[in-house]
Amino acid sequence: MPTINCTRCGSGVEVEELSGDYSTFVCKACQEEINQPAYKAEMADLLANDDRTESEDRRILYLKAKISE
Amino acid sequence: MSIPSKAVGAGDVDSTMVFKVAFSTALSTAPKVEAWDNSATFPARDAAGATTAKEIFTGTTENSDYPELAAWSGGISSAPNKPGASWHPASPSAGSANPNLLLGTTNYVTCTNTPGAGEDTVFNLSLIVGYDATVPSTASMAALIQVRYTYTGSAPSLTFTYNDGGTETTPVWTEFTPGTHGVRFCNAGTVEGTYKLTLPSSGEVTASELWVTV
Repeated sequence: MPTINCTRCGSGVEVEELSGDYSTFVCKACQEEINQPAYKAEMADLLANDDRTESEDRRILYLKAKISE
Repeated sequence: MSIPSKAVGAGDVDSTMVFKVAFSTALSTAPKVEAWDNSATFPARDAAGATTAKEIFTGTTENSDYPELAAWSGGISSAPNKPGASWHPASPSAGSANPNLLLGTTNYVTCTNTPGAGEDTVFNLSLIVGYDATVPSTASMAALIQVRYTYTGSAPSLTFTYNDGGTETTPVWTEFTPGTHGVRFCNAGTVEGTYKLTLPSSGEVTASELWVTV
């Protein structure tokens, strides 16, 4: 299978077939690193709200896992 | 018609003459359709996308934590290609694919044509959300649709339009302005002024209508 390379860390990712332009491709792991401050900010906002919904509590658990990954 | 109104053919149906971007001068590569967090409050928007942390990108357990937005490129409007029925992908493809789920520059769509001077490219968008989505969704669904393009020489000016009351074969293109107008993903039968997507008690819901609004 062909491989495309992350423009940030250089790691290769296999794809089924080449389709389009990969000159800006960023791998999932790098994007997760970039997202970390946004995950933390969202969790702080949710925790500051005492009137949370059940689904917001689920989201907090999800964000905790994302931040500790 | 005028804004606000429904974009004809939008969503997970066999249509591609839905959104159109025209370029005043030639591009050097095919443009890309991307989606990113919008940290501003609609209609304000970030100048450019940076993160993909909101739930519209991280998904939920119900949809296997995949992005919820998808795009299809139909190429130039004078010879468009339709996606087929139910084209919204079940999972993302790394990098570029058509169609693809949208997640920054990790999963995106490269348009199937490189517009010359005065030419355009058309695309469709779709949203599928799991029943376990976070409510209220005011912040969790705030996303930018970003068209990334390259050129040599003078920068082109862009014109964004949507199919406003036309048909797939005879579209009626109405111009909209990024930062003034946006797209809302709604239930079937939406009427002006009441824009919502109702979550099901189980499974997923497909946004049946996309409205361009102020």
